[in-house]
Amino acid sequence: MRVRSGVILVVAAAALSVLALVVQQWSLSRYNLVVDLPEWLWSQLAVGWAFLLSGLAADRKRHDSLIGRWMMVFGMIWIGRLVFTPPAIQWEAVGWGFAVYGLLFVILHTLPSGRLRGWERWVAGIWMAFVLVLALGVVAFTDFYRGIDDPLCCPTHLLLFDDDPVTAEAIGTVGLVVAPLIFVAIVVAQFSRWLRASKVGRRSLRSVIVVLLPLVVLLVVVPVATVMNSGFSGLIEAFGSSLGLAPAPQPDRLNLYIQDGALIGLPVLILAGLLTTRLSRARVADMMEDLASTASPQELEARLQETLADPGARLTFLLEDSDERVDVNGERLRFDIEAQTMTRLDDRVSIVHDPDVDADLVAAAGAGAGLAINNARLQAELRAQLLEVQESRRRLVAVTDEARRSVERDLHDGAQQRLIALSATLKEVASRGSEDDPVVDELLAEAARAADLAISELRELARGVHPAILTQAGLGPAISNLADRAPIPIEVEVDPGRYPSDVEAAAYFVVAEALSNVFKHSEAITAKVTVRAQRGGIHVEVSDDGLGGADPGGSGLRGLSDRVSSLGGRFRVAESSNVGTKVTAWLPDRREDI
Amino acid sequence: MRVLIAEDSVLLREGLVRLLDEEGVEVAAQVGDADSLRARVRADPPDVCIVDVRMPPDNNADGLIAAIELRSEFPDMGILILSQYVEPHYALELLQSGTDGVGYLLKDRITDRTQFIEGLRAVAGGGTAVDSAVVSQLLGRPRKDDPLQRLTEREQEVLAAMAEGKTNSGISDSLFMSEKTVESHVSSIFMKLDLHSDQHTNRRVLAVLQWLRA
Repeated sequence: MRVRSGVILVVAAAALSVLALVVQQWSLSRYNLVVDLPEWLWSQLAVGWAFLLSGLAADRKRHDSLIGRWMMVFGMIWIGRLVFTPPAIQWEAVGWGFAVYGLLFVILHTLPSGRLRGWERWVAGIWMAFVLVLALGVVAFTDFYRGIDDPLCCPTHLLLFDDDPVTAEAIGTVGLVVAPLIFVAIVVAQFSRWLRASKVGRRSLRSVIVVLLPLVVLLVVVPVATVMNSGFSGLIEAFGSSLGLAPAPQPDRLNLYIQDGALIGLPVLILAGLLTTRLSRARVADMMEDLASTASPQELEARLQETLADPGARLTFLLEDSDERVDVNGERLRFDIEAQTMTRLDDRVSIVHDPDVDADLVAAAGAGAGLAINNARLQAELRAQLLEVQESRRRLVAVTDEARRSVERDLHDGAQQRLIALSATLKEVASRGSEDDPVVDELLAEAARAADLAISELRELARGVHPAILTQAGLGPAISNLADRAPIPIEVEVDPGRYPSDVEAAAYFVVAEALSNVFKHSEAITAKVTVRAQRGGIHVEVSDDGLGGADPGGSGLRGLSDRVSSLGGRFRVAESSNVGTKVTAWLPDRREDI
Repeated sequence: MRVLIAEDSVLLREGLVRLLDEEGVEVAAQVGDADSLRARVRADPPDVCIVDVRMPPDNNADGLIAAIELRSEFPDMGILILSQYVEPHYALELLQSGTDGVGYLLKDRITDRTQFIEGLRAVAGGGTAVDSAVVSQLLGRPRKDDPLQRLTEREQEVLAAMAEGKTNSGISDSLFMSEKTVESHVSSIFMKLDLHSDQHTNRRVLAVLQWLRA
């Protein structure tokens, strides 16, 4: 609501108030009525203004909630009804009944959004109609001027059907009994809403507790006070009056204070409740100030989560070149979007959040962080591309590994077996001997030796291509075998444990290549290999006591570095003239990710 | 002697069958994968199983794993592992499952009939056979302040023969020395290598191999 319409409303309410004061004063002097003027009128006006002003404030500060408007309507009806005096006093009563039973209940029920959803609209409509009928019913059987001995006053009002106090009270009692029941139902409904709500939802329902809790206390305190004061007779009425829902039956002082206090305090409580949840909006402003100095997309997301008070809130981006949705790290979304609500900020950017987070607030936060979010989107896209490149590099290495394994397998199952069979046959033939030609025997023996040599050379070749023991028994035995065949003593320390085959292969080839460098160039006397489980992966270290001089740009080390980084690991060659060369690599164990 | 052959290469399997046939060894069954190996042994355990390390279904060390498993079920059955790999790891794994009646030989040995049959008979007789290539790889491993240097050349030969699973009499035959001399060499080796002396031939193999691997 714009400021101007607010001003118009206040002016109208002020005019009505003045009119009420004048009219009531006139009525008092015109008819000889026994009414508690002006005390009564002042307190009634105070209640009306409390609702009107709280409503205006609520509407200004919490525009997303309709509660403020409901409160303004309540205030206007409340003040407006005070204009009616004898001879039209019945309208004052009807207005009172409608405002209190009809509007107030809708306000309490729809806290904090003020919105009626689906079937609630029908129920609320029927309820308000029912209240109206009830109020008209009471009026129809009540002659407000009973006992007024004034010929100038109309003997009857327009709605009067019959002056029948018994019927009127019966109808009134229906209201006084039903109203507290409905109130209890509202409390139960709100409480179960609280129970079902998520963490975030509970926060926004906090305002409801702020409002309903004092009312529930009043609902207990006032009847108890009444019973203590005047016995059980006034109990049913007291239930109603405790909420300001009915005029106090016997206006003793205590009840009057509580009733007026309750009705003035209620709109203030509602306003306070709405404002406590509004504070999150103030955080949007804080966030905007902060973001200027905040750089990374992850920090931005953390700030958004804080602002929305939803630790599960995530920024998501739709990639430009594919329909994939990624998070701030550029990684494909892995969490369940279905259980969340997605609020779109623009074509590509959305915030996924708890369904109970106020969508307006999300939009406000998103708009506030606009530039930073755009920046985060670009970074996420870059990250996504980088991840894709990394992934394809990993696939390339995996393909190479698989090719090596396949060559080794083919050698094992094919050529090696055939050579053994050949050698066996040659030796068989040689053993039978050719009696007449010793040259043939010599040639056969030579052929058998050549076959045996081919067998062991082929075995070495297969081992170099891909050691079967690595796949079958892991890093420990495979590296031990390297040490067996090394020209210098090598100390081997390998933690037991198996890893994904690409990780084991990378670690193995790091060790093998580093050792072969040691043998070729370093003139080292000893070397040491350690493989340890460390920080969610394996740490490989090959050190020697040689001359150093390893060339990290050389094709061997270069290839290792590529292989390691394709798995998201780190590779380093350190050397100094005193302590030789140290090659280290760390490889993440990605089993959890796969 | 009844022998079961578990080998997935048809070529080698047939070669083995022919060789054993000619040597008068009864081939009770031939299988091509680890699962049928288990099934056949459980149905009718032979005296010795000749098992290829690498076999289907997984083409990893399926044969070795199955053999070690079957050994615990049939402790009296001999196991002769045939392998393409000079892998002390496999030999040790096999010996650690029990040192009596086991052997780890390279497939190359098939080409030398007498050597192969000798190994097979050793295993069948409850002895131990470890391929000389495996032993020499372990012996050749460079060591810091190599204790093996303290052994005489003759002692080194005796150590290698011990590691291959030869008995004292076997060593005396192959190295042309008296059993008495072998015994004195053996105790000298044990002392020099600071090894706990164990007179049982088969356990001696494991102890020596473990020392060499350490």
